[in-house]
Amino acid sequence: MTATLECRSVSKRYGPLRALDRVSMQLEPGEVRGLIGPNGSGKSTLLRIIGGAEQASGGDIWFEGRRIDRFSAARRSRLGIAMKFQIPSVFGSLSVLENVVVALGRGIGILRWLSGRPTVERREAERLLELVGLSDVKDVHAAHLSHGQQQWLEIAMATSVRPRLLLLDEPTAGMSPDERLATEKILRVVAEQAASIIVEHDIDFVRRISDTITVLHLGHMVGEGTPDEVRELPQVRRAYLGGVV
Amino acid sequence: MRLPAFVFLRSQPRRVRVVAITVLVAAAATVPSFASAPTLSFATIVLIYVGLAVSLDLVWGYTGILSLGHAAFFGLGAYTVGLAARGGAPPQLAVLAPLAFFGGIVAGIVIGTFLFAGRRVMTIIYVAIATLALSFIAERSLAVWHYVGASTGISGLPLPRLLGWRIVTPNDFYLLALGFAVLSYAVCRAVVSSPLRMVLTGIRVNEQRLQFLGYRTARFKVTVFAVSGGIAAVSGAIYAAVLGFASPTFFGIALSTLAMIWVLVGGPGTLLGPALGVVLVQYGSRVLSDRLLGWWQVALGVLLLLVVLFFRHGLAGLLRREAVLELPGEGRAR
Repeated sequence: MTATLECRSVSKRYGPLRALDRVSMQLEPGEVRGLIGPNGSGKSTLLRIIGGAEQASGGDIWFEGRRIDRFSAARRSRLGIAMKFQIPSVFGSLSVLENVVVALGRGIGILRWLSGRPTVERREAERLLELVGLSDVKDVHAAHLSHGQQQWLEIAMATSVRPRLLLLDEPTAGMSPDERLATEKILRVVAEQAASIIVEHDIDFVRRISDTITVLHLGHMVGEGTPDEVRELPQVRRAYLGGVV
Repeated sequence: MRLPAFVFLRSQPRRVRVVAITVLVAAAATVPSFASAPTLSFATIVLIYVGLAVSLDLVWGYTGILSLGHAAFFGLGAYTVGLAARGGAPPQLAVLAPLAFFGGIVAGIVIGTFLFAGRRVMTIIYVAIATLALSFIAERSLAVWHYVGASTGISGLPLPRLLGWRIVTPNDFYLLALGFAVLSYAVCRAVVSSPLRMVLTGIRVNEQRLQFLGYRTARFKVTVFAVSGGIAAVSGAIYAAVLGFASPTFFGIALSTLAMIWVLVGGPGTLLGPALGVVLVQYGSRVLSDRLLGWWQVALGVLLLLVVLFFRHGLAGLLRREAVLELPGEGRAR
């Protein structure tokens, strides 16, 4: 079976700084991969490179057997890669429902937008908002949502395009414990529909939700395996998780 | 504390807008019955400018494309009429206005593709400078091109016609301009009242996010830019037909800047605001130029500065405080 994602020796340099150094990883269909490591380890950089927000300095990226590292972010999205950003970037001046309708409507032609008939998308948007628990606030401007709600809206927007690979950058950042639990439930449903890579600082959260974990440090991959395997890796325990795992 | 009437108005922004526009148009239609000839000429020009103002608002206020050279489309429309009518045949607006619209659309597609069809999102400053430069190039090119009259332009155009209607009197010109202003407003309003508004808002607020959702945003931007260019070109065509001449200055930076001031003063992203902005700025200029002579442009500059610093939503923002207009970003949430 073709892997959903394959990163081969992906590197990224910012001048003299090597943010990623020949990182390779493979993601199978339906797999949930946690990406952990201390600040500055290159987790978000790797995610942004896969999503197309940044270009790699070296190496190649394959999605379902197709090399994509020269594709624009929009093209990767159309192929089936969706990204939820670390900082929520919802359209604050649109309503919650409109945000999801816009996310769903990328295939709609300009004339259909003009004629005012994205009704199918509106129904689907309502279903997605129910999934992430935002039905009650669907008519509120997105700017007025709490931080946690904006993260959920981001997840709804990312999943609306029916991705086969979902990139989630710190989906629980800034959330209360209750909100983290709610997010975990949402992500479990979402993960049934697509392979996912989750960058997250909350190690317990990552261990609960991930099938496999990749550990990065200073741009290098230093460990990979199931949550239990990663926990036993001495270099991970010693250097990156402070022995808390 | 707000008056109950304002609370009601706040809850009914669309109805208020429809009533306000109906009243404005009805009032405008009565102007020829009491206005003097100079006032009627002035009002005619103002109404033609409304088309340019709302077309700029469509691209800038709603889509976030700061076109600092929008007068280039206006000039294109003016020269369409000028070139067609310089042989002495009365300009037939039923043909020339659609021709100008088509020309504006084509120019908009060409310029828009050049500006927007890259992989990277061009910053608002890049687009502003590029459009400004194009406008400047167009103005200077026409000013030295003898085939189109060089710096004197094309003058002495015959009186225009619209199908069988011979447009002769100041009243005729005024009604023509009023009809065009209403039509251009209606077209722009139809665009921003459709669900397309959501995508245009997305482009204005965070274009890169839309691209991450898989949007080819350049297509939307080029389309809106072209439609806006078409409306601006018709505005220029009617202007030339009414004044009887076309000049390279119609393409120039001065008119582009003036259009930007109308939108800023009126309130970007409201359509009605920029339309009122034209009236306010042009009337203010007229009064100030009589009283302050050469200083009136300084006063206009100070007015612009005050608006930018203290009234970011312009005239529409002031009205919005009393719940008469809907501002961008405060659109319906249903």
